[in-house]
Amino acid sequence: MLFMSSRCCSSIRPRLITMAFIIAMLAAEAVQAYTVYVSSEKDNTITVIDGESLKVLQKVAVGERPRGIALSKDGKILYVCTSDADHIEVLDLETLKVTHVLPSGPDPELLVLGPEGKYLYAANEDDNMVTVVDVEKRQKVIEIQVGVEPEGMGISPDGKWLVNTSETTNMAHFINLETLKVEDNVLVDQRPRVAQFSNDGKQVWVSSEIGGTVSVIDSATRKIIKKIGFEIPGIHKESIQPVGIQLSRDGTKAFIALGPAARVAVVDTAKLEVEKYLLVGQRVWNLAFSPDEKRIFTTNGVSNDVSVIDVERLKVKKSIQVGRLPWGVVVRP
Amino acid sequence: MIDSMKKRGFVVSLVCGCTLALTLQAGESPRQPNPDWPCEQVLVAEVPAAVVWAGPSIKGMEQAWEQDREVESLVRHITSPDYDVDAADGEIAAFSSKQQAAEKDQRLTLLFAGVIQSLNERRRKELDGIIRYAQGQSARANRLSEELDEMVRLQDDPSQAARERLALMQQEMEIKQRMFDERESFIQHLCTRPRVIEERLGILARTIAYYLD
Repeated sequence: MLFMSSRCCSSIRPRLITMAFIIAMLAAEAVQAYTVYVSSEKDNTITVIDGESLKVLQKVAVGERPRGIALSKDGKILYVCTSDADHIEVLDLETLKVTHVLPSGPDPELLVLGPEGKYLYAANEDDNMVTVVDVEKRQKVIEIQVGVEPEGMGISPDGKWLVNTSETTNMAHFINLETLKVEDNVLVDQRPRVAQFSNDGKQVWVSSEIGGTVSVIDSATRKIIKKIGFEIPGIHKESIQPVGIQLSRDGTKAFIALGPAARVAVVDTAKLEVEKYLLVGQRVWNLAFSPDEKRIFTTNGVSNDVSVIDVERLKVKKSIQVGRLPWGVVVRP
Repeated sequence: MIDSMKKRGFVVSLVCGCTLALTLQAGESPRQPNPDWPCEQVLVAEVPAAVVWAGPSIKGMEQAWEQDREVESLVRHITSPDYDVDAADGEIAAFSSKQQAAEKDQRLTLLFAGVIQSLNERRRKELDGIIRYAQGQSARANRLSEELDEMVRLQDDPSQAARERLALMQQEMEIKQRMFDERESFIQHLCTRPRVIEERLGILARTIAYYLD
C-alpha cells in the first residue's frame, strides 16, 4: 500500500507541476491578451485582429472613409473619424455596433482624446479648425482657429497642451488647453503630419511628409533640438515620407513610419539617430504598440496589410491582410 | 452669385496652381513638389525596387529581361492591366519549377526586373496623364476667372447690350461651372490609379520573392 501510494504520487507530481505551469502560462497569456483595431478608408470598415494569434476576427462596417481612430480611457469605445460622413462615430467594442455619432466639423481626419477622457480634439482640414467635443454631453464645445489644413495632433501627458500641425503653413501650433488659445508656433519642414509628445512630456516629435524629416521640439522652450533625416540605400529621397510616430514608454526608442519607402525607422532617442530601418508593407502610415510594447503594428496603405514588428528582435514577424487602404491603428489591452 | 463664383474660380485656380506647365522629370528635385500635381498623395516619380524587393540586386538587368524570350513573355502577360494577379502564384511557381537550381534565383530576379520596369513605365504614363489633366483644369479655371471678371464689369454697365450679354454669359457660366465641377471631382478618381499599379507591383514582387532560395 505504501509502495502503491508512493508510486501513485511520484507519477502524479510531475503532471501536477506541468499542469500548474500550463495554468500559469495561460494566466500570463490572458493578462497579455489584447485586440488590434484598424480603420480602412476605402472599404469603410474597422478590422478587428486578435493580438496574440494575429488572426482577423471580424470586419465591422462604419461610415464613409474612416481614418483617425482613438480608444476611450476605459477601452470600451472606439471613436472613428469618418471623414466623408463629416462626423465621429462611436463604436461600442462589446457589441461592435455604432451607438451614436458626435459632431466633428467637416472632414475630420485625425483625433486625440484628452487624458481625462472627456474631450476629443478633431482636426478639420477643410475649415482650418480644431473642434473640441465633449464626449459625455455629445456636443461640440468650441472650435479653435489654427493654421491652414490642420492635420496631426498630440496632447501632452498632463493634458495642458495640444500641439496641432498645419500642412500648408508648415507649423506646429502649441494650444493652451486652459485658455484654448494658440500660444506658440514652431516652423517645421514641409507638410507636417503627426505630432507626438514623449511620455515625460519634455519633447514633441513632428513628422514632415514632404520635408522628409522629423523635428524634435523641446516642449518648454519651443525650440527644435534636432531634425532627424533619413537615408535608405536604393530609395530616392522623394519616397521617404515620415508620417506616424510612436515613442516607447521608457523613452529609449522611437519608431517612425516612412510612407512610400515601406520602411519603419528605429531611432535611438538618446542620440536622436536612426539605428535601423525595417522593411514593412507598401506606404506605411500609422503605428501602434502592443500593451507590453513587445510588438508594433503598422498600417500599410498600398499593400492593404498590417505588418507586425517584433520590438525586441527588431524584425518584421508577420503581415496580416486587412480592409483596403488601412489608415489608423489602435490597440486595446 | 458672381462674386461667390469668382471667388471659387480664384480658389480653384490657386489650388490647381496656374503656373508654368511642367512635365514630370525623373531627376526633379525630390523636395520641390510639382505645382501641377493635383493629388493628396505626394508625387513619387518612380517606385524603387527596394520598396518591394529584398532579393538580389536588379542592377544591370534593365535590358536583359527583354532579351530572354520566356521572361519577356511572362512579364508582358502578368503585368497587363486586365491580368488577374490572383493567378500569378501558379504561373510564377510553374516558371520557377522549370529552372535549374543554379539559375533559378537569377531568372526569378530577371523576372522581377521586367515586372518593376514595365509597371513603373505604365505608372509614369498615368502620372503624366494626371498632370496633363490637372493642367487642363487649371487653364479652364483661368478662362472662367476671366469671364467672371467680364461679368463683374458688365454688371456696372447699364446699356441694353451689356444686360443681354450678361444674361447670356450667366446662362453659359452655369453649364461651364457644372462641367468644371464634374471634371474636378474626377481628379480624385484619377489619383487612385497609380496606387492600383503599386499594389499590383507589390503582389507580384512578393510572389516572385517567395520562390527565391
